[in-house]
Amino acid sequence: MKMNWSARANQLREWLAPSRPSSPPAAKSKPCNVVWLVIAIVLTIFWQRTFEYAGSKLDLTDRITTVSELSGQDRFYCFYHYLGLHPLHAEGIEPIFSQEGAASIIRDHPEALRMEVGYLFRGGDPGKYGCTRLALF
Amino acid sequence: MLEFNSWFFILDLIGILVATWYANQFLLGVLMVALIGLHPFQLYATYADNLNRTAQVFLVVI
Repeated sequence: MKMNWSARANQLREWLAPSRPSSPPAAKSKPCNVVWLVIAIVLTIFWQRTFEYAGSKLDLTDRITTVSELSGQDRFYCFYHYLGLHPLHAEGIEPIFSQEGAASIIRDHPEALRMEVGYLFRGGDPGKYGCTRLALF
Repeated sequence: MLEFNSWFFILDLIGILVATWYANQFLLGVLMVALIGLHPFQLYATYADNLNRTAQVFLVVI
């Protein structure tokens, strides 16, 4: 069925107009019984406390091993792990994961060496911590 | 840190229950608490990993 332009415009206006309820809004429905809430809270506490006692038996493979403390910390892994130098990374140079490779980057590309990424200080234990976690896992 | 994380995690779950109960969506809240409370990564980070990783422990709940 073909509709003319004004009929379409009227229909569109009708769709876009804010709906006006013909009857007053129904009374706000009350939350369900508070007894269920109390039961759920008590069960949740006891249920979660069982994990507290099972903590040491939880599966180690569920451990989160990504570096999350400092973004871009993986760039510092190569020099720290193979040469013990931290914080140090080579900007724009693909890391070579061996002692000789890391030393060759320092020898061949001294201009690319940096001690920070994004103006974020990475020295000290917090920075090494990210690298150590990478080395362990 | 373990004790704080675990109790705070339980507090978060209770918060979900109360909020959904108040919004009259209690079944949804129970389902959320059950799924989040059984998440293995969440459980390990909360109850076995004695580290200050607040974001990892509480991000899902938040």
